[in-house]
Amino acid sequence: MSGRAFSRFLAHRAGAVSALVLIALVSAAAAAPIVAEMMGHDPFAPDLFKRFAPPSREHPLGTDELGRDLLLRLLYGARVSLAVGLGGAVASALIGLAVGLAAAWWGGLIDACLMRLADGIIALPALPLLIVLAAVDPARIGLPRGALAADLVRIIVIVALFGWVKVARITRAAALSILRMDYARAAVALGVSPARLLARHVVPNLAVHVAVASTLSIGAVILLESVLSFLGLGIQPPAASWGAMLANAQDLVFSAPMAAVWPGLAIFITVVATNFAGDALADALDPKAHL
Amino acid sequence: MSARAGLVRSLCALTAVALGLALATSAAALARETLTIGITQYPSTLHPSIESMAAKSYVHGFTLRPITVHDAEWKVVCMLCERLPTIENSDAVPETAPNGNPGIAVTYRLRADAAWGDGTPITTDDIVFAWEAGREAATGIGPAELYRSLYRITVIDARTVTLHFDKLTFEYNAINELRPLPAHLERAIWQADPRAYRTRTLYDREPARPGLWSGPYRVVATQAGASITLERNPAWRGREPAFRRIVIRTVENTAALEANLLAGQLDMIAGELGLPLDQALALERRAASRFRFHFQPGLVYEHIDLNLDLPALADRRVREALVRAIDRDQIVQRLFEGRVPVAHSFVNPLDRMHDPTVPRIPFDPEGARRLLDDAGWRVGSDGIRRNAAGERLSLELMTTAGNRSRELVQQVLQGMWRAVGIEVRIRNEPPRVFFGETVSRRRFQGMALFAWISSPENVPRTILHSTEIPSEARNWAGQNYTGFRHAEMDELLERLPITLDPEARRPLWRRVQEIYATEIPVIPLFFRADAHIWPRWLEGVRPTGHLAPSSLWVEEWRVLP
Amino acid sequence: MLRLIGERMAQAALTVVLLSFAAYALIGLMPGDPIDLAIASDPRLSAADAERLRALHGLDRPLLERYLAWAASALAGEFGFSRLFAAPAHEVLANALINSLALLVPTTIASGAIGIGLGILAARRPRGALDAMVNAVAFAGIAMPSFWLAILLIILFAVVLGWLPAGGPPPEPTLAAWLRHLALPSLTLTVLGLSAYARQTRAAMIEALSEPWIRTARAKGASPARVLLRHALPNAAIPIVTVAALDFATLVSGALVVETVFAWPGMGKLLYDAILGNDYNVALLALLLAALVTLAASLAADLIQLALDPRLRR
Repeated sequence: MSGRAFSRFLAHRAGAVSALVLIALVSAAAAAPIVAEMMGHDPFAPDLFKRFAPPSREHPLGTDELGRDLLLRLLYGARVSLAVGLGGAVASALIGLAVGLAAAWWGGLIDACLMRLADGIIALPALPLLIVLAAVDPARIGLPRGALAADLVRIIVIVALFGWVKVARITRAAALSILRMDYARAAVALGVSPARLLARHVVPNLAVHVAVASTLSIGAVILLESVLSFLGLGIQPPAASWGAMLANAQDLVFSAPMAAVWPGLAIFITVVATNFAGDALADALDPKAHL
Repeated sequence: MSARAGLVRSLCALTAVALGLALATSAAALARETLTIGITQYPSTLHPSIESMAAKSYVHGFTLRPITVHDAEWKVVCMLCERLPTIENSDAVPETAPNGNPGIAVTYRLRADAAWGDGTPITTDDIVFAWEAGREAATGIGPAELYRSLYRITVIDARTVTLHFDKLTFEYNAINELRPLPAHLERAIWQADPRAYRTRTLYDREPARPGLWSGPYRVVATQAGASITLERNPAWRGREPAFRRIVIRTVENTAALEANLLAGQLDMIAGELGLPLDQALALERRAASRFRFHFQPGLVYEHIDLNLDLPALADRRVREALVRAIDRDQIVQRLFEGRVPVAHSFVNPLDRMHDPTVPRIPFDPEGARRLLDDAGWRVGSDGIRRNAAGERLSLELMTTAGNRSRELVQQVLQGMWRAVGIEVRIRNEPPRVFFGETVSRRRFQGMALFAWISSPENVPRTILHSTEIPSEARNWAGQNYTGFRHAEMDELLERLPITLDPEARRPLWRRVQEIYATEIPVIPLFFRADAHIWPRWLEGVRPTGHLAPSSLWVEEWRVLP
Repeated sequence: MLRLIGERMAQAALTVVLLSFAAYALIGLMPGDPIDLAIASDPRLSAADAERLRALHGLDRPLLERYLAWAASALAGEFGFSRLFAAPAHEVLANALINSLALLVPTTIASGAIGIGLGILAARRPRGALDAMVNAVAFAGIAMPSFWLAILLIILFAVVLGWLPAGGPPPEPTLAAWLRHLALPSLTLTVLGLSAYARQTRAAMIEALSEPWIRTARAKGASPARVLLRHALPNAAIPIVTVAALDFATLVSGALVVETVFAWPGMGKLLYDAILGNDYNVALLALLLAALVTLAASLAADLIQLALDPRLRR
């Protein structure tokens, strides 16, 4: 990002604040073990005598259904949820951008194949594929069993597998019309290389659409992680994630609503922050920005 | 003027109150005419013999009567028959079957007032038809053992029939699964093409035909996936049931089911297919004044199968240490408010063959540590035990992903085992992968947490007999997932079914429970309980705790005045 | 234009064939066929029973052979019988489709209209008060998991206020009953759906409003409303149409969570149950339908794009 773009980013006040919030969230997640050390309890060890304890000095947000500290579980959950949300969205955006540009640039058969693949992925029900994946024993294909990092990578791959389609379609649609613009045609006529044309003229002009679509999907991706856990493809207990905390609170809607409020709030803040940051990023990259 | 206005006003008010009262009472009476029940499943077929599923048997409880059934006291009783045939009353006569095995001939006499909903009497022809259809492989009935062992039927008259079985077990007179089918409606359809029968049966094509039903109620309407409406069966000759109409609604999401109950769209939630226990307990704390709660401990047995092929688990001391390390009482008290009984073996305390004197393994973490030390597993620097070869004592604990209550138990157990130096890794799978492959093909690396459902005095042959270990060669049939081999157990399991005298079976049952408790192929956890939620004005519902649903006795349900 | 449609039809046919095979293979590859599961749940089932049932349901034949048999009868218009719902597959599907469309058509129109309207309003003055409000509504809709929105609406309108039914299809087929029973699920889906439209429209409109021709139009004295609707909106419509087409296609194959919480037997629930229950006939028919809708929506999006942007016509 050039200096001008950076100052445009900062000029978007909500975006700049959001970026700070995101940095704070990521550092809080990174600092989870230190906080656990300071508070002096283990967020993974159940204590059946302290189930659903109200907030107190010892447990600032109270405890969950197994008597574990909610604040600490939120912090540990942030590691999983932020990694999955941001990682999944970025991976989907990159794949989608590449596919969309390829389809728009080459057109013809390549375009047809890529776009029908995209249609197919939308139409194909994800469920049987996920169940088939769940039956694959990670040990058999040389992956460590039950390692959190391996689980995370698997979730991000699954998210990207289904997530690139929307970005690809938006990219292709926008790129097609940009490539028909006078300045793009002029650039082609002047013999500008395709890579340079796409990077300098096309991508900056469609960045705003991609940024909006990707940041919009972060909330959904964080929640999708809990659906994957439901199929045994997500993270395994006792590890925490916001999506799983929220899903586990479902049966106890009426009796323990606070168990859902905190992770819900965390997801909300993340969604707001990423969307504003996405807006600011798009502004910063937009060559037509008049700020 | 003002006085008259006042009079008029108070008259108006009076009329309004009276009218309101009248409306309220008639509304209440109207409401009591209909009972709306919520369950969490919709039956995939209404045909009595194709497949078995809980939602179907709940609906059939209202609408169909079996010949025999286990009642709320867990005894076999007659429903369609006049008296239960026994060897003592000479209705059952042991004989030798054509294959040379000891067999038995059992004679049933149907009640004179038994009739289908269109008035046609239920006759022996209906039993013969059900048997013929079930025997034919093309019909596609699930378990065929009954139709195989019942090799001949002798019809004595329209109401009397003798069934010849080629085996003799103590359950010789229980024919709960042989459901009479209305031959006057269904036989022609079946005969036309047995292979297509399941796609053409009237039970699914025209379920509102009165002649299909024989219970106090009959089906009058179905809304696929959503609800089944029942009305009183005019041909029913027994005690008249209390409600004109019963609506059974399916709401699969249990939080939504609870909301439907609270919103007044449901009168009750059937425990057979109702709320998970912890949700029901939480609801009881808030709504005890509006509803009556009944927690019925039952035959669903939650336990952990141990894969005995793993070297660590092949050692009996390690298995005993695993049991000593866990405080099942605390789990039951804290997670389920003590509403479910702790299990010490697969035999339910309510079962007549349960033996309370069988030794139990107590919660004893010190003992667990000693046993592990003896077995050569010493505590390492990270708190996890290692053997002489330096291998960590680390086991995988699997269950069905997405089952919240099991995942809670799992995590508590993990913590308890961690405290004695055993590392337990949780790896859960969707039910169809878990049951369809991992457990049934014995691919679990350590422990598998799941439940068995059984019937009263159910001989666990398929679970504990050494010939029932699933293998490729056996088409993966059998449920001995632990790989348990024990010669004495095999012999007991063979002798039990053919020992007719209950008192002679008792010592055999005691020995089975003793071997189970000392050899520990399985870690027993607890027996599940069903949460029945009834309106305060309803009484007389008696859950059984086994597979027979409470709806079989619907004519005893009464509305309190 | 006609040539484009013709080409796309040919592509669609190929895609549907490939998809149906992919889906058939995936369902077939899932561990735990119905017989495996029956054995695990019913101890009375013996090895011989398992073999007999496998042969009866044709599960002992190779996957490709089963697929070809299915495809042949499907081409003849014979979609088979639903093992899980005990009715012909096309009847099962038709019922679910009617329920789904009753829910989705008004919902898609409402969320599209409201979302696009909010997006335009927000784009008029970016970072103004109205923009902030629209953003807040949109973020709430994005961050709110569908289960929670659904259950909160049920608690408010059914349990506390008692105005609307908590769920289920209408007990009698009157218009009033339909409306009452549709109210909460469609409100839920509308709130969830409009956020994406609002955000996407807002971004596209802000982008379009910064183009030089808008300044020209303004300079020529066009009214602000005319500038927004006649000049900016058509240019902003491309990403919006793309999103709308995608969303509608996804919704047809299911609003699973909302359907489950409101006990509304629609396509999402049907597809889920059919796949988990290995009900090939229903799952594949539902999938074919979803594929056709997706391809049609994708074609429609491309055609609308062509109509909006004349430069794309060669």
